[in-house]
Amino acid sequence: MPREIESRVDLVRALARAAEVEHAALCRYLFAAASLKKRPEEGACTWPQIESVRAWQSSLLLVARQEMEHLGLVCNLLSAVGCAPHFGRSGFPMGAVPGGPGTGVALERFSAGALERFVAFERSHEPASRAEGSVGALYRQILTGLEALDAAAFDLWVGPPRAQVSNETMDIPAGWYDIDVFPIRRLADARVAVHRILETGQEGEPEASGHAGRLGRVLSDLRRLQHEDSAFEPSRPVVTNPVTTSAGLEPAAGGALLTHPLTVRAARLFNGAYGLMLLMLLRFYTPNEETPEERDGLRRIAFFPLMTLVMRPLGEILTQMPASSDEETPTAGPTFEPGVPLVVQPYKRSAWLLYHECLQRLAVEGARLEEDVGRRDEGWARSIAPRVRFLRQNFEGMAVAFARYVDMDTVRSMVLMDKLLAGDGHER
Amino acid sequence: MNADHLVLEFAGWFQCRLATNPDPTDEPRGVSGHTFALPGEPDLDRVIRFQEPVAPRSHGPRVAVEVGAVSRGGESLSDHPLLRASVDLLDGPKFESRNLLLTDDRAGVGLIHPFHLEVKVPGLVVRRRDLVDPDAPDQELHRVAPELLNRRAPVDLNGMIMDPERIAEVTGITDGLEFRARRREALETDLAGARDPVVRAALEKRIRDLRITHPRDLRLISLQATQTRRFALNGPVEIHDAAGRLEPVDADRDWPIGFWMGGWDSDSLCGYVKGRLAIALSGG
Repeated sequence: MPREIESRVDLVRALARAAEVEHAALCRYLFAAASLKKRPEEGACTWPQIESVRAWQSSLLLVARQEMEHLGLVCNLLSAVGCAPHFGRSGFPMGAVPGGPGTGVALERFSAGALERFVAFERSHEPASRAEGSVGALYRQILTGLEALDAAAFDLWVGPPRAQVSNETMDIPAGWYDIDVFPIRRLADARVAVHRILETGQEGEPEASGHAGRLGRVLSDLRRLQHEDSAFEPSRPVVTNPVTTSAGLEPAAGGALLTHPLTVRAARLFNGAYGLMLLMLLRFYTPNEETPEERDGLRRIAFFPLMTLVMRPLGEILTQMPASSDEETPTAGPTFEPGVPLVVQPYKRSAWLLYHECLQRLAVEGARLEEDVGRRDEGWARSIAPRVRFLRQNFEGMAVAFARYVDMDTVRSMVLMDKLLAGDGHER
Repeated sequence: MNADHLVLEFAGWFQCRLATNPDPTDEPRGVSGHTFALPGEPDLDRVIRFQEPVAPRSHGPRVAVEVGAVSRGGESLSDHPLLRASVDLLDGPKFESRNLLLTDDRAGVGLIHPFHLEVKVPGLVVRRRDLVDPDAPDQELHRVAPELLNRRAPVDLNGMIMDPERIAEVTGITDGLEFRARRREALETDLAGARDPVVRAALEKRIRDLRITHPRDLRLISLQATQTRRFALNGPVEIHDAAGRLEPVDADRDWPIGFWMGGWDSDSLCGYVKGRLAIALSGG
């Protein structure tokens, strides 16, 4: 990282790094949240303890949503200076990231150790944190660079206004779901955005509402409950840094290779949805020839359905599935391996066809998984079967709905999907 | 409505144990939304219950929808056998929106499916289904054309309608903040005497939630909001009337139904429903 930002390229490089930091953070929090138990029947927890676990999961998901907000604001900054958004990131475990430990930033189950690392990361947003490599230092460098380039009468704010995402474009009323994404068109907006990112990150005092304070309270509560009951275990026995052998990626050093065949398929289904969501977000940030209806169609698939109907439930399903073929524990988790090159598809029609094909393939894979999970006798399979069935229905629904949103032939969409399903041995 | 229809006016509280945004539709316990399965309760199942609630909560309304008035040709029938009949939705109906995949209802509530209405008194049962797609009655919802789904969606797709007067008229709730405060006080009294740790955990969760008073919070907004649905039941009719007390019905004509649902009490997971069903009669 250069000492000073002296050019647009320097700025974009720093913003891309910031995007990767926020993206990695939200993945870590989603993973930890997915690892939490839901019922005493899972063992080592009582109903009153589960009530605390629910509150902790709610806190983690809130923080994750706000990291999504931060990622959105950084992408708005990139758009504002005329560049494409950045959704790439290293695989897990990652090397040193700002604010993290020296090496090995991980996807890990909920635990006191994980929370300590989360709090340390969030504290690195604080203004007092002047350590090189802190999140605060990175954003201060970005802001200093923006101010310098703006003051130099540099033609900085060249991005088209429509290439910005906000609560309004996502159709999320102001204040809902604890997120506030707003357009960035000039230096004043950029200052507000950077301040917001740093402000929500810091505030480590127990009563504070920032991430460090919130996660610190979770850590205190966890320690208190574990002191009262040493047998209490709030999270499932999820492996750290689960990986699959996905296209273009090799298992990273320190990753736990998933080997149970159904679990690998479920993880790849998650990754397929994750990669498609990122591709759609890239397109959403870079509107080209699409009509307002088509752009709304992207929004109606990429935001709520893919995130809420697929990724969160499938992430939780994975933490109940065995990681290996040999034994039922430890269990797996979402691997967040996109498996596709994250580049903007420049041609609208081709992009629609690609996304539609991806949705259909996800529907077919979902149907296969539903059938094969349904054949298993194990308790974990019976437990996840209803959610897997619902997933399959929603994948099919998304494929048909997307065809409608972008004015493709929906009847043909269903016929093609049924052919794919029939070719796979599934009758519909 | 003319004399060839028997009009049943029905009303009452219903229960629906469902997760709410931003939780997934199939979230079993509730995490980030404003509805939850409490300690000791079964998982959220999304089923709309007009009768026989599951795990009813203390100090909540009595769940029971019934016929409050019967008329024909504008004339009230005060001794009709269906007066005070229970009204129920059979086959485990749910609100089906799936994050706007199925309908364009911006409130995200969607259509009620399946819709299999039953009106019943001892010895007399009237049932009728509504078919979303009569040409493919068993089709999975996500494969049904949107115009057919939207037929059963709320009439105003732009979202819930704030209608505090209507809610107050039927429920007595004139001030959402005060309503919730009184509920909280009752629960705090219960908590003071509760010893069972599971009961205490459930009460504490409810009390914490009832302390939320932000005017834009959905717990408060939905308490005074409504959604209206209007369509006509078009499916097979089933009548059990051994004593022949009911007028001959016309099963070939559709039966119009219109009702609103609202006054959503997120603490008890109950809402209010009020509407009317017009049963087509044969022979005019």
